Amino acid sequence: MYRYRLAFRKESPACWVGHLDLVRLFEQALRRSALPVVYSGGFNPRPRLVFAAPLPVGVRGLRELVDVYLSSLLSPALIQERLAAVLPQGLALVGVRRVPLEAPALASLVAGAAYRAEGELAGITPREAETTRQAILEASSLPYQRRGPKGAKEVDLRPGIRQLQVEVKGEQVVLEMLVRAGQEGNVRPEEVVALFLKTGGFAGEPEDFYYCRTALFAKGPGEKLIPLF
Amino acid sequence: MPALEKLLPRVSKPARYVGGEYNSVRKNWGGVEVKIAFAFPDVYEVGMSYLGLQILYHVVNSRPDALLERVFAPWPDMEALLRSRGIPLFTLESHRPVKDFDILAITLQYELTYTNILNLLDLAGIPLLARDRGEDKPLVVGGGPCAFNPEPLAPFFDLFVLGDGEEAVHELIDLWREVKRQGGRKQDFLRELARRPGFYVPSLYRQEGRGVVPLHPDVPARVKKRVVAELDRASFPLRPVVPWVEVVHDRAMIEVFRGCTRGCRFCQAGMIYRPVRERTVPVLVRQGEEVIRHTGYDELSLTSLSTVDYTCLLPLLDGLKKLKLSHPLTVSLPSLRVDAFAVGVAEGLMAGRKSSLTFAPEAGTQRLRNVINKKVTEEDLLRAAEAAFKAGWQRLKLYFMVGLPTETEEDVRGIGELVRAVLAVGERCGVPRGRLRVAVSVACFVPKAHTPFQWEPQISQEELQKRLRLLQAELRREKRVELSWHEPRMSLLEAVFARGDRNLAPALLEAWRRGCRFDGWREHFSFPRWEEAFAAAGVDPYAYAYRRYAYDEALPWDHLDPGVSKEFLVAEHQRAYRGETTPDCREGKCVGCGVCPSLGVRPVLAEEGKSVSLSASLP
Repeated sequence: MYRYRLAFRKESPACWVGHLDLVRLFEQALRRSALPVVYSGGFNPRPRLVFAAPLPVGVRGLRELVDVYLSSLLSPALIQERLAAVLPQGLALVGVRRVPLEAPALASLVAGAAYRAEGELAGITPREAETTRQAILEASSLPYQRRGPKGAKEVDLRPGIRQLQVEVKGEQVVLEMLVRAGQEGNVRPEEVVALFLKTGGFAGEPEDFYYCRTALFAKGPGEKLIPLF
Repeated sequence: MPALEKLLPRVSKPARYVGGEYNSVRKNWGGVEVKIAFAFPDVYEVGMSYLGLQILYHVVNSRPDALLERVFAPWPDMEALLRSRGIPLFTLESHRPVKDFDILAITLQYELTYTNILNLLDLAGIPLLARDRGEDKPLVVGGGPCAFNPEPLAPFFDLFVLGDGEEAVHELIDLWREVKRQGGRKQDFLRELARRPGFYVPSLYRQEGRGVVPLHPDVPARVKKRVVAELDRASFPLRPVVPWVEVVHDRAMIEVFRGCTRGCRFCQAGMIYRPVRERTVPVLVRQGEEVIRHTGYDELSLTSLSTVDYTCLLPLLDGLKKLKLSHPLTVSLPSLRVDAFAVGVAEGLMAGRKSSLTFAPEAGTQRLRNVINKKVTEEDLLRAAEAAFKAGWQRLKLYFMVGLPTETEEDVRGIGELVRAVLAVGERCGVPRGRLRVAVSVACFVPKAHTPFQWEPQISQEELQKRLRLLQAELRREKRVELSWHEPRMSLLEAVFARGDRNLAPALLEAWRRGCRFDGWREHFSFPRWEEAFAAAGVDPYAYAYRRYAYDEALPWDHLDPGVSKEFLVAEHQRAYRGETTPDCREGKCVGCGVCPSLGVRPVLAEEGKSVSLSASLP
């Protein structure tokens, strides 16, 4: 058995599909590719796939990751070529790498994620944006009502926000953030935007922003985050 | 897309609206003469499960001069956004407004989608009434089973297509092109089309009494349905669109045969899709292989109205099993015939995965099963149950109907007795205690046009409730039974429209105006709103649902001809009351339903004994 890590982009229209359906789309594409995929056992065999971290519906991903297992040794270039031909619109391969079989599970490696959020806010000035950014980063806690299937619950977003940058060009606002992700918890980009809007008193809604996950990170030595691919 | 991108973060399941799925077709708008928008008046997940959509999508998009794009009923959250932002309904492929297309084709699968149809037209910015639509508005065309009694929809449609669509659609496109090239108008097109079989132009007819008659001498008094004579030669989608999200029937499909000749007397599909036309094994195996390769599904469903009846089922399954695929494949059947053979087949398919098996005895006593011509005995069912339990299934699902003609309390109690007998078989077969389950799903009888029961009244809501309560009481002490039933008031509404005439159109309009949408969805269905609508339109719904229609009265669908003769339906109706069954013409003896001589076709059965040579069947 051989293990390969695929880096892929998830853009429109595929970015409007949720994680479970994304898994389904990859399973279908792998079957179409006729690559020698390793299947799970049981009554309902499925291609063995391990994704790094689910992407919220509507968020683009530039470097999403999934591990697949093949029964024969193939060159990454060949895998890329075969799979690229059968992916649906909006999914594209960025790279394929062989990974040691015994390497830790992909999902367990994820510790951080970088997001970009772009939107328009009427009348915003670079100074206001910068003040808001600082207010967020200097706060000791950032309580937020997170809505879940079991109702809303209050969470503190502050420990999960590692970096935040804001750029303003006219009414165009770009937020670049590095946040906690993976098994220790996730901060969602629209939560940071909601916080930004509220803290700065800007009129706008998080739904009006365009979101993109630009990279996933693993924990390196000394709490430092290193890119996963 | 930018406008759409603003809406998507605000709706549930945004993938319903984006298009661009694997195998979807986006054509160059300017390079195509005839543009068709195809609407399925329910949500994406329901519509994308419909094979007919995939067939027409493939047939039309295979033509260089035409395109067909999809549109579904937007869920109420999306509808609210479209309305508040003034965005007209758009198709999935090009995101163009539906009103920019030449033709809007709407499939009529179920009466309870009718309000969604009006809603689609309105959201598209298309006037609801055909007579208010000018030359610049799309031609609105309906097809599918409900086109065999489309009268309640008559004022909203320009045209209905009766029967198989894959050939008729070519004729429609060809003529549209010709008329448009000559600078003709919609009326010219419709007038010409109306003379041809399969095309019913409601504006060229009027209702007289309850019947419908042509307005002009060159318009036929009866419109015959279209039939594809040989399915092997019919176009089939080998590259169906693979939905973005999991849909109701999320699997690859091949159509084993069309038409069913079992002759259940309540069943409209069994009458209007005659005669039976089977595909041959080599064609099916090749189609199955291609569909799997081009979709990446791991499940292939062998669809038809009764797949276990397929003449060459075992050779087909064998051929599919021998396919050399790079991945595991499950073959599934949509429903099972009630006998031990069917269970054996299912056992061969399931490869150890035994969730539940479904049978449809439909009625609780032999007397009533004879009345409806469901040729299944209690012994058949118990043997099938025994075979299933012995093969390892622990849960069976049984479909029944209440309110069937001549039904008495004894028949309802009979359901309870049959269910208990099935449980006893399960115990005897050693199904572990606590594991044995029988799910009983009960539908309410709805009389349908073009069936032997088309004259029958539906029983009243009070009576239906009484019988359902009786059944509940019968099964109350059985903890191993899961009893569920279809909402009786939905069945009432279905009965009203299934046997309705043009006088119902104003009530439909009133219901839509009052906010009726997704009437087939329990969470949206509101009977009080419908009652208000009927009252406002001055229409008595019960006069449609509860009245026994007379043999000698003109029926609102008599001008539409599925080929099965009225004499046959009368004879079948009378045989029902005598408790006599009618054989299946598959067995060789013609039962005289009239479809073959009337339409110039014959039943097509796949030849048995032919060896399946896979290499020969591959392209």
